[in-house]
Order: sequence, then structure tokens, then C-alpha cells
Amino acid sequence: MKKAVVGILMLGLIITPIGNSVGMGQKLETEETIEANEEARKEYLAKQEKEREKLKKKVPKLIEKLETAKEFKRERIIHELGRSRDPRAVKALANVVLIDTDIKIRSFAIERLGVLGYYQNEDVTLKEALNDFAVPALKTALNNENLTVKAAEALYRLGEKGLARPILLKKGSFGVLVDARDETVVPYLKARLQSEDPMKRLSASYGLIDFNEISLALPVLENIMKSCDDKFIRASAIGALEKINTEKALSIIESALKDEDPYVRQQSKKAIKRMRKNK
Amino acid sequence: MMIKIPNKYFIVSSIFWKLLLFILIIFTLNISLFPTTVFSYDRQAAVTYADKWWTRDAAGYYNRMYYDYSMPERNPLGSEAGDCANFASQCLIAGGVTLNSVGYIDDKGCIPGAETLRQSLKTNHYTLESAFLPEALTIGDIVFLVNGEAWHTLFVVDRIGNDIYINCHTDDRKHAPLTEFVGESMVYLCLDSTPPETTIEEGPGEYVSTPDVSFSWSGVDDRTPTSALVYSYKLDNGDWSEYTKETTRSFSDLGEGEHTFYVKAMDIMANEDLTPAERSFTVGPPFILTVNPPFAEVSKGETVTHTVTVKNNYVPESETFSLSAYGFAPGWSVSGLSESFSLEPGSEASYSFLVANSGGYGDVDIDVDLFAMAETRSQEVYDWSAEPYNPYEHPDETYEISSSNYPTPWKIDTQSKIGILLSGWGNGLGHLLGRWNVETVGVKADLTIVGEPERDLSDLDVLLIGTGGLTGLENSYTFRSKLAGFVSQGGIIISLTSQYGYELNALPGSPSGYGWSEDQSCHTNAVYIDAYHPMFAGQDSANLDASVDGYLTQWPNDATILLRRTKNQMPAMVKYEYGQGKVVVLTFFTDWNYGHSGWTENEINEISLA
Repeated sequence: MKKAVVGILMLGLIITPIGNSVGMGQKLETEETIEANEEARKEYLAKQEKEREKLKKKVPKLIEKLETAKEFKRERIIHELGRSRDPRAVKALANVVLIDTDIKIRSFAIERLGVLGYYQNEDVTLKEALNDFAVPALKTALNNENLTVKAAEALYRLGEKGLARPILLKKGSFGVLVDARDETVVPYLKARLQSEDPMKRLSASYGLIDFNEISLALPVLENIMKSCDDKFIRASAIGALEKINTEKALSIIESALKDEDPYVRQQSKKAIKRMRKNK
Repeated sequence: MMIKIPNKYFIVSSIFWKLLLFILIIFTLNISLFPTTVFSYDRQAAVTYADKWWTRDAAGYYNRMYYDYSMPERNPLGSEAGDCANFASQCLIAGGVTLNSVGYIDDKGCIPGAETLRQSLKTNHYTLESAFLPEALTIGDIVFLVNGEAWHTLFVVDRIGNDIYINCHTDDRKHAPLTEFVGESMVYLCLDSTPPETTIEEGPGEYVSTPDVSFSWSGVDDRTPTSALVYSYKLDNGDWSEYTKETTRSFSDLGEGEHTFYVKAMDIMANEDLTPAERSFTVGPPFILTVNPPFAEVSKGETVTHTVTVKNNYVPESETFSLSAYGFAPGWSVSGLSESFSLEPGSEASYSFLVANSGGYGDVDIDVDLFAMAETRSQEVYDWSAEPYNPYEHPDETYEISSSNYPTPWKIDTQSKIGILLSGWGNGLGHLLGRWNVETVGVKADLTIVGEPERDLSDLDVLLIGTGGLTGLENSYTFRSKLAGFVSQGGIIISLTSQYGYELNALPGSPSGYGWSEDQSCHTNAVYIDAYHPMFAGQDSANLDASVDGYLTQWPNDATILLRRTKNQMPAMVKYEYGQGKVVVLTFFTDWNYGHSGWTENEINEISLA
């Protein structure tokens, strides 16, 4: 009888449907809250700008500290030097790329130098510093196989596209090419749609959406939604479908409202809400 | 107590039903313990996410469904300040949290600023912050590096003793020991994963006679103030509602029957009450029909007035009630009813009809129907004549026709657990038991309960079959199988003598013998005690005077013979088990005799003790 009771309890557990609730707590999106968030955005940007001004003033001190600091302190200084967008900082970061013994620190400095390429057209002295110090250092770093990809990405960002492009295409690091809408990456993205790795298919789909190759991305994403066991990849595919924002994409996301996983359901619900808003 | 119901089989059957009820309750509780929607801050899911997206993929991207605040071209702010807080936000979202920011929050629900995230968790998510490593810090919690304000966000993915391991973005780390950040000022934020409790403050009682009900509820949480809790509710097997801050809900036009309302609170960290508050209640019918008496014994020349009461619970006054009653049988006269009326909700009205026995025998069925709002309530009235079908065939061959005249009235209770088959001289048993104020209910030949259409044979503990009660029924397969089902599930049948022995075949176990038409009856020292049973404790002689007519010639092997006929030593009373119940057969005709002044104290004792 005990077994029967346990059996019935187990049956009860098995047949209990999986919930479809999602988290709560967010304020309702009213015009007031949207306006308040716009104010908050401005405040946040102003605060960042203020911090950057502060860091700019600290640059000589930071460069000095960089020489003696150890471990995480150096990482923090590299981050701060990068954020300062100061031409003096570029030289210091290029130095780290060239001579630091910690490969992780060198890699981080390369990334931060590449990021500065985004701002180089706003500041001539910054552009000069990047050309004079960063580009040569990054070209040297290309020779270190552990740094090749990062260095090629940074060089591409700094405008050395002809040099960096073939390396990036060869290494499969398509991100910066997609960001720049470099058409040469499209055939590579198409080829990656055939990958067995759903992460790679997902990433290629996102890339192709940026090139408006929706008809190629859509079936791949639909397949991921149907057959991928990884809830985080399914949820991310919803993000890609949201970018597509067609009726078909919406209908696939709507099907995900019944996904077995609450996180996927939550993301589909939010995506639908945003899509309707953006229509 | 006259009827000794409990025996071990009855107890077994009682336990069985109780157990079944228990399992049903457990099953019901199970549903409430594991409701269709269970959610709380899922730390493990958050950590799984943190391990999956801790760094860039082969193409150089983080999870592209979110922005990247370390690359200016990949976020709406053109920011390169770092992606740490954004990444921690994503982990929290993966754990089921929807962030409520005190400052800027992007359209993906992430907070890119470390200090904004810290303040949002403290202020809007009621998260406790500590400057020292708290005992409670565990996976899914957050460590901020601070310099007055927070400037870096580390997501806790493991803890071994006091060794904390984190994942973070900018620069990316996976399961890095917190000691890598030695020398930095830290604050520790322990997120709440304790769910709130929900209480129903007001709602309907167990029974409501209207279809409109209202509920109010409240919740309490260890961290989230009550004013910030949200609630989801559902009725019966419906879907859980969207979460709302509302704490009241009204329902109207609920259907008649049982309903259960559930409500659960959720705190700001998406921790749901795992044991939702619930309230079960029954909505009564829109209207009720009662007929009194539901059955009556109507002697020849007698007229009985039946009162029909209509109680309107919630039928609108604009609706019309139609009430009808009709019945027909030779020798019976039913005045009947045909009424149309409206009635204010909450009020009642009474009508009556007459049933007269103008020389009929047997019975008359009267159908009483009440119709309103496309719904019909019916009750059957079952009146019968005490006059036997054939007054010349009765258990005492020396008897001359006269009317039955029972010394005590039948105590009728339609909810009684003791039923009397209304055939043969069963009504005599009703009167006999009335002698000890034992309330009984009539059972028709189709084994339905008179006056209680909702009840059936399985509701009874004991079925008494009077003298000649099986006549004409022994060949009914339905009758026999229903009796067998009743006893096998724990019921008890006590049957008195029959006209022909083969009629006893209808009983479970198929006993047989000689009926009154086949035996010479006798009263004095008619039977003697064969096997001692506690029921005979009051007897001072082994020989008993009793109205016995008939004896058994065939009985189940495991039967106990309690009384034998003096003249031929054949059994006059046997008892045997059948399934989980039992059957007692006596070849007494005490019920008939009770109405004809032929009964003896001895036999009445035996009947009552049986």
C-alpha cells in the first residue's frame, strides 16, 4: 500500500505541468517610465564622460603605476587607460602589447587599443598615436599565434582592413567584419550556417541578419528553436528572430511561448512585446 | 444499540475507504504543493548561463541577444566602459529575475552600470549588502569591487569554504578565485531566494448560495515589503493569472458545485510562494426542490398530503419557475401540480398535492419536476400501500385477512445508513426497528434510495430484506449483481424468510432452502441455538420461541449456523462472509408478525441483535 501511495504521489509529480510563469518586478512601461529611463540614460552617459575626463587627468599617474602594479591592478589600469582615450595612454598600451610577459594582459591591452579605433575620427591626436604606436605593436603581435586573432581584430578596427581581413576570414573571427558590414564575410557566414555546432549556426545567423540575408537565417533559427537542447541557445535564437521582426519570425517566437523552459518562455514574451512596440 | 454493524470486515472496508480518501487528499495536496507554476530565483540556472556566456564565441561576440558594453559599436550608448554589470544582469535574468532599475536599464532588461546595478539590487530588490564575506553568500550572488561606488561586477559561481569563485566580463574570467582581486575593496550582495507566504484574508465560507464570490489576500516576505509583492491567482483548473499588485478578485456566475481558489505571492526576486493559499467552497444550486414526505405508506382509504417546497437561491425574479407533479397507478389518486410562478431570490414557496389510496395495492410513483433557467430539478415520490399483493399468500397459514397494525411507527430518515427493501413485508421491519427508535430508509426494488436520488446502495451499511422481500426478484440479474456488489464491498444484508426457498438464491452466496409455502410454521421452541454467538447472551434457554417458517437446505461452506429448527435440525439462521461484507439469513417472519400481533420477545431480540 505504501508503494501504491508513493506511486500515486510520483504520478502526481509527473503529470504536474511545468509552469509558464516568468519573473516580475519590472515597472510597467508607461510614457513616464520611458521618459525617466531616457533621463537615466543621459545621466549615465554624462557620468561616463565625467569619469573619462577624470581618467584623462590621471593618465601620467596611471602609466607610472602600470610599471609597478601587479596582476589585477595592471588589468584595471589598462582598462582605465583605454577608457581615457588619451594619446599618451595609447603609447603605454602599445608598450604592454610589445613587452608584457603576461599573455592575458597583452591580449586585454590589444582589445582596448582596437576599441579606440571607434573614436579615432573624433580626435586627430588619438588617431596619430594609434597609427604611430598601436598599429606597429599590433602588427608585431600578429606573429604570436596566441594573439593573432585579437591583434587582427584590433588592426581591422584601426583601419588596417587589407592586412587584417584575410587573417580574420581564415581564423573565422567574423565579429568585427560583421560590425563593419564588410561584404567579404557573407560567403563565410553562409558556409558557417552548415556547421554542426548550433552556437556557430546561431552566430552566423545573427551575422547574416546584419547583411539582410533573412531568408537564409530564418530556417536555421527555426531549426534551432525546434531541435536545440540548449535553452540558452534557443533563447538567443529568439533574439535573432526579434531582429528579423517579420510575421514568420514572430510566429516562431510565439511558438516558443510554449517552450518547456521558463527562461525561453520569458525571453519570447519580452521579445514579442518589443517587436510589437517597434512595429 | 440494536444493529451491531461493526465487525472486522466492516472495519477493513472502512479503512479502505478512509485510505482512498487519504490518497485523494494527498493527491489534491500534491497539486497544491507542486502547483502548475513554480518559480524562484534559480541560482543554478544563473550559474549555468554564466558558464556558457562567460566569454566571446569563435566570431568574437558575447551572447548577441544582449548588448556588449565593452564594444562601442555593439550597444546603444556607444559605450566601451565594460560589460561586467551587463553580464551579471544577464545571469540574474537567466535565474528568473526581472530587474527593476533605479537608473538606466536597456531594452533587454539589463543594467550596464555597476553602481546602478548595485543600488537597484539594494533598493528595488531588497538585497542585503555586506562589507565582509557573509556566511550566506553563495552561487548566484554578486560581489562588487568598489571605490566609493561600484566599478566592477563579479558573479559568484562557486564557493568552497571561504574560497569564492566568480565569472565576469571585461576582462573575461571563468571560475576565477576572488583572491585574484586582492587589494580591491569589495561589497557582497546576497540575493533573496526565500519565497513569500500568501494568506487569503477574506472569501466565501464552505458553502455559498450565490454564484458570486469575492476574495482578498495578502502576502509577507522576509525582504520584499508587502507593498511590493505581486500576486497570481487561479480558480479551479484554470490558468494562473498574470502577476498583479491587486489583492482582491471577484468572480460571478460560478457554476453550481465545488470550487477552489488559489493565490500565490511573488517577491521582487521572482521567488514564488511554493504553497499557494487556497480556499475551497461549494456554490449551491440555483434553486432547491424538496418534497415532504418523500415516501409514505398510504393505507386503503387514506389520503396523504405532500408538500413541495421551492427555495430560490439565485434565479433572477424575471425568470419563471414551472412546477409539475403527476403520478398514476390503478387504485391510486394523485391530485398533481401544474404551477408557473416567479420567486424573489432568497425566498421560498410551498405547494401541495394529495395522494389517496382508493383501493390500490403495490405502489405509486409520482414525478415532481421543477424547471427554471434551462435546468430541471426532479424528485420522485414513492408511496405504497401496506396491503400485501396477495393477502392469501403469507407466512402464517393460520392467518385470516386483516389489516396490518404495527405497534410502533416507522422512523424514517432519508440519510440513514440502514436501508429496508420496500417489498414483501419489509415495511414491518421499519416499524419493528422504530420500536427502538432506529431510523431507517426505504430502498426500492431497483435498489435506489427512496427520497434521495443522489444516494445509492453503496451509501448504505446495512440492507434489510423483509419476509417475502425477494419474491419476483430472484431472477433479476441486475438485482442479484447489485446485491453481490454491495456485500462484496463491505455491505451487510440481513434477510428474513421467503415464500419459496429458491428465492433466497437472489442473495450473494446463493443460499437455498424451504420457504413458508413449503414448510409448517411453528412458534413454540421452534429453533435451538446451534453455535454460540454473543447475540445469544441474553437467552436463558437453548430453545427459542420464534415466528419461524422455512429452513435452509443449502448455504455457503464457510457459513456459521447459529440456529437450527427443532423439528428437523435444519438451519434457521446462518451467517457467512461474502467479499468484504456478510450475509445473515433468518427464516423468521417477525416483520409480518409485528403487524399482526404474532411476534415474540425472543425473535425480536434475535432480529435486533442480528
